[in-house]
Amino acid sequence: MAGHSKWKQIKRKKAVTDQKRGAVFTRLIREITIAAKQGGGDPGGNARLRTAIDAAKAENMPADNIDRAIKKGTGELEGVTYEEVTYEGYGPGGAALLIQATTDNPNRTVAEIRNVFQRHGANLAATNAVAWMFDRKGQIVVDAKASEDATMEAALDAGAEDMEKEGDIYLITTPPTQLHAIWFPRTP
Amino acid sequence: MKVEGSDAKRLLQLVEGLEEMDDVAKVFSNFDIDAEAMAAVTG
Repeated sequence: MAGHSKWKQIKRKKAVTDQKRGAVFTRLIREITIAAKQGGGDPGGNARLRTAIDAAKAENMPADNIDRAIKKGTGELEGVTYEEVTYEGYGPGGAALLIQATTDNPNRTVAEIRNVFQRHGANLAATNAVAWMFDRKGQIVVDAKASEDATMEAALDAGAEDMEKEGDIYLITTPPTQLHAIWFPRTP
Repeated sequence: MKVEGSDAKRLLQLVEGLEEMDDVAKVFSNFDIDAEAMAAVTG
């Protein structure tokens, strides 16, 4: 019977892992679909799509899933139409919050976000109530294995604005339009 | 924006709740919670 109990535990653990993996896949698929919709299905000419595909591969997403997501984005396959929306609000202590969402139903999404805000004593705000407090920047996170000076020089030469060391990583800040060009220097 | 005590705890729970939503891709905030307070909140 001990074996049976152990199997139940393994099953429960597997269910939790599968659920988390499913949530990660859902987000990655949406990002691939949106990227393909906006910039076309060729990752060679669409740096955002290339980044999304790399992220999906890093999570061991099957190639078929990636292909289907691209084809849904380009319209070659029928599927759900996603759009990007941004919501703003104030959290406990007056902190400003900016939420980027990808959804096939903005009415459902805003209702769900409002619900989460209300449960935590926070409030959604009008458009541009807090967005003006944020600057749009690209950010690249690199393992701090190489020397700080060499990494800084390479980053600045490629067009980055700044680099900071935080623990065992380097945080490289870029102009938003230059993010992919700096991340993939050989992209035309 | 410095946030401390129970506000910090509720704020982190809010951000976690938002990040768990399937539709939410990214959450940005201007809060500043120092490391000690963060450790106290996250246990």
